[in-house]
Amino acid sequence: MANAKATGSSVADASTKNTGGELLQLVSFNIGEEEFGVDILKVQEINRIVEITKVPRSPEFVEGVINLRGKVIPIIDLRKRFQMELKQADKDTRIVVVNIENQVMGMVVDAVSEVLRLPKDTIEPPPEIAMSIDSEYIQGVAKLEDRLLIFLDLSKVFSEKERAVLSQL
Amino acid sequence: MADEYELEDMKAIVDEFMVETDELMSQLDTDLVAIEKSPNDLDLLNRIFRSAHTIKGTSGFLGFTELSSLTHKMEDVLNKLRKGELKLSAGMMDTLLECVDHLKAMLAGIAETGKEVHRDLKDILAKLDRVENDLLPERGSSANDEGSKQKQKNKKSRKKSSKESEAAAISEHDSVPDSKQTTAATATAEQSQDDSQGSEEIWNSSDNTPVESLQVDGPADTVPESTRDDAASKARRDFADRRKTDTTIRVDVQRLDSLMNMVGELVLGRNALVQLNHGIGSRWEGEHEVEKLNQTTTAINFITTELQMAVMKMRMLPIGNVFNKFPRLVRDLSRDQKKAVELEIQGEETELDKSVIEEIGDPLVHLIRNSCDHGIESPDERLSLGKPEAGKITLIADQEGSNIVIKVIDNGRGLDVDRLSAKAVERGLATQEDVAAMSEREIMNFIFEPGLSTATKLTDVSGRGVGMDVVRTNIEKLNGTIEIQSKKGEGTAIVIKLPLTLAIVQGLLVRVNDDVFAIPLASVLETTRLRKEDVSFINQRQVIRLRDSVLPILNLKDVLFAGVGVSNQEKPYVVVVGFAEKRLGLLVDDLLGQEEVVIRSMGDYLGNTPGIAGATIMGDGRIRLIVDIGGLFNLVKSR
Repeated sequence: MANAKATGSSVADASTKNTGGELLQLVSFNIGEEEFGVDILKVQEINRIVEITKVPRSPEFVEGVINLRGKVIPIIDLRKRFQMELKQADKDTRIVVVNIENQVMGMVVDAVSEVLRLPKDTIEPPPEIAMSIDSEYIQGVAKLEDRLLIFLDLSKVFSEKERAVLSQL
Repeated sequence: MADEYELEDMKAIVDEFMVETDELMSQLDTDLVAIEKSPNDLDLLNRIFRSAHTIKGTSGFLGFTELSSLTHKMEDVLNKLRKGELKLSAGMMDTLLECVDHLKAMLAGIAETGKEVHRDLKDILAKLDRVENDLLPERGSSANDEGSKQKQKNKKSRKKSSKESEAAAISEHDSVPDSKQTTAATATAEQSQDDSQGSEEIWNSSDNTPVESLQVDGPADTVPESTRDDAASKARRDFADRRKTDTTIRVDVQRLDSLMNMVGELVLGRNALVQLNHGIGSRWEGEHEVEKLNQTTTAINFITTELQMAVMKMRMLPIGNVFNKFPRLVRDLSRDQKKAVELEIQGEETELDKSVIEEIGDPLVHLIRNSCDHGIESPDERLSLGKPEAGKITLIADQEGSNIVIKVIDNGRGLDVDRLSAKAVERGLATQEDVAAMSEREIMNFIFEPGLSTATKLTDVSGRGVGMDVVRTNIEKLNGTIEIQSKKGEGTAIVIKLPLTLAIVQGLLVRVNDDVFAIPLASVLETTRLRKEDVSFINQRQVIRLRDSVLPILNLKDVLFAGVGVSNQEKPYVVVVGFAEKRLGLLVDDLLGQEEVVIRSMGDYLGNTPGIAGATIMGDGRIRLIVDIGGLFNLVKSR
């Protein structure tokens, strides 16, 4: 188990020489070919995959629940969430545990890559053209030197709408 | 600052008073009904007298003047009773019980507002006066003159004190800090009055010379300031003394709850430790440290279990607290309906979780009312049937494993199954064919349907068909089960089964395919092997015949995961679960044993999953889902 917060400060600035403007720290991870980032302040920890207990009648993208040091937390599979092809868990598979409005939840990702520091102004609004995932989950896009990073809007990923759907089940 | 402190102090005392008086009131209720049956029991009379006296004393001290004037009057009557100057009559009992009702209403007012709410007591006081003086002429010469003089004096002083009380009440409303002085004055007035009557003092009166020296006849204003303060502090000291001798303390329920939660966590940790110890033991058997670990684990295991029991016991109250009010209820009902009904109570010492105790009162009231109203026949009818004139209701509480069983049994006319099924058809709850195929037990369960009553006429007691619905709702809330056994002409028994406690649940672990679920053991009625020849189909639903009843069976996983159609019938085991009056057989692959489970919510996100009460973490660190039996029945119904 690697604690993102602890390692965050020791990671070298990956792609920015630009010191102007406010810096944003992101945890970046991969799903398929895409690279995603989430605000490091929302990330509580990153864990290896553990046994996930299925919950009946939960929305399709909800994998189940896990035991996080004595707490029961729900896990969603981002591949399912973004309607991407499913993939067997392997040695790189991680659970990114996030805390959104005091609710602790986990998301299954293919691999966690690094902690990035980006000036806020390098993040642009999501392009109009279709991307590989539904644009409603995207808060912005950051251009790195050699690649694009999708900045996820976590509150949408675990959206109220879905919670409402859940409560109707 | 000091005033504020005083206020806080006062509030604490009033709270204490309320709790204590509540207990006294229920005692009073029970005792009064008991004394009606054995009017010569002097111990009982003395106890009743003391209850009234204690309430009077404390309420006087706290400045609840109306309360104290009423209890005072009651006490007068009771005092004469216990001295044999008055004979107990039914009318007198009614008046005394009416007093208790007034007291209850007044106490409720105090509990709500923190101060006395005015209540018109003229009627009841006059009634009490009449009761008290009823036999005065009969006393005639036997009563000595001194006694009557004494009485007159008392009367006079009582008038005075009631005037003072009024003043006290007024000044209390006007300015709170003053109340200490005025209430003190009232208290002393009351006390000295008692002394002059020479009555038995609970308030440790042997050493209250300063109080005795206080002239009741004189206006309270002339009492020197210092004496008053002395009296006040003394009264308070007495109050404190009385508390000190108690061997119990009152603890906020919240503290107990948080303690219970911590113990719950400890139990889970213990389970994990036991499992770990087992694993290590089998891998490195014979090593010295492993042996030590084993011993330590065993010790911790043992202590945790003890601790769990101890904490659970702290939350438990004897069910007698609930049963106490029933003698009065039955007495009133039988008088109202001119029936003779005896109530027998067994097992009132059986203990139940406080939260369960709070919920079980209402359903029991309904059941007892039903028994009195519908169950027990009129005396004439009973005699013509060759039954004893007096009907009998038996209330039994008993512990069976981790369940509490409460039975309400009457020897009345029993349930009329034919009438019930006719009613059910009339109400459109079932068709003729349905009813024809139903067992007696299933038909009896119709009485739980709202709006269905077999009573031909309404009374103010029952017959509107809401009662049993309330019973069912409350039992469901407690995850209990309810069963009716009845034989026409012989009587009815209602059997309620409740979990001992709601916090830590014993779970039956069952496996279905690759998933393991925990079913709360309190809801499990039995488990049985499925024999193919027992399975049949009714309305395309799988059922099994289990002794005298037909039980619908469903694959547990099918229900939970909304699997479609009748799948794999080859499950070897049936777990029979109950929810209030409903029964269902769940098909599972394996029974894995039982373990304590502590229900944890899965958060807002998954918290509303139907059929799942929550998750628990097992000894091996895995998560198991706990089946919510109520939710499960809803799922089945909606299919």
